[in-house]
Amino acid sequence: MPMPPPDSSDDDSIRITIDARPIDAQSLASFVSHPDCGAQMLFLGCTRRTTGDQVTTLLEYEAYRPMADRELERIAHEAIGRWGLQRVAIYHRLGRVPVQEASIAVAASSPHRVAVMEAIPWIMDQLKSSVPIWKRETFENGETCWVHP
Amino acid sequence: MKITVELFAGIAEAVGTNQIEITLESPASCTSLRRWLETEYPHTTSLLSVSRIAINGQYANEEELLTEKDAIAILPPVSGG
Repeated sequence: MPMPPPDSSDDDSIRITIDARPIDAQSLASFVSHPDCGAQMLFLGCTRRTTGDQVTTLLEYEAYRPMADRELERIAHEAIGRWGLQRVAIYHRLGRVPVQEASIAVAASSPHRVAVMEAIPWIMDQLKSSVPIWKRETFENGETCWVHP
Repeated sequence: MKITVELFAGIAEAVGTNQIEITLESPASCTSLRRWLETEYPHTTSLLSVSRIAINGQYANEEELLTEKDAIAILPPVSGG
C-alpha cells in the first residue's frame, strides 16, 4: 500500500497542510467540492501592507510541529461536529509571505450555506487562539518584531 | 533532572536560542520551569507570564510534573493566520 502524503489526515473529510509553498486556493476548493453540498466557502488571509501608519513589507511564519498540525486537525473535526460540514481544508503557509500573498486558507462545504458561513469565522478564531504558529513582521524601515497579541 | 526546552518566536529571540538544556530539582512542575526561566532570563518575564507550556505536544497545566523524557516547549501568544 502506498504511504499517504505527509500533509494528509487519515480522515478523508479533512485536509490539513502546513507548508512553505504558496497556497493553491483552487486545490482547496476542489478538495471540499461534493455532490451533496450546495455551499462551498473559501477564506484567504493575506499579508496586508498597511496597519495604521505602519507599512509592512513581509510576514514570516514559524510553527511548532507536529502540535500545530494536530491542533488544526482538532479544530477541523470540531467544526464538522458543530455544523455538520461535509469537508474542511486548512492550509497554513510557513516562512516568508510577501504583501498580498495568502498565509492562510480555509475551505468548507455543507449542504446549505448557513453552516459554512458560520463555521469559517469560528475556525479562524480558534486558529488564532490555540494553534502554535507565529508571525514576524518586517516593516519598510527594516525593523522586525514577533507578533504576540 | 535534566530537561530540554524548545523556545519559539519572541521568547526564542529574547533568549537568543530556540533550545535550552537545563537542570531542575526533582520533582519539577511547569511552575518550577517558569521560576527558573524568570531567574535566568529576567528580561523575558512579561512575555513568559502570557506564554503557555506544552508537554509532548499538549497544552499543560501549571501543576503538571515534568520528566526527562518529555518534549517541553514554551509557546508565547500565538499569531497564526
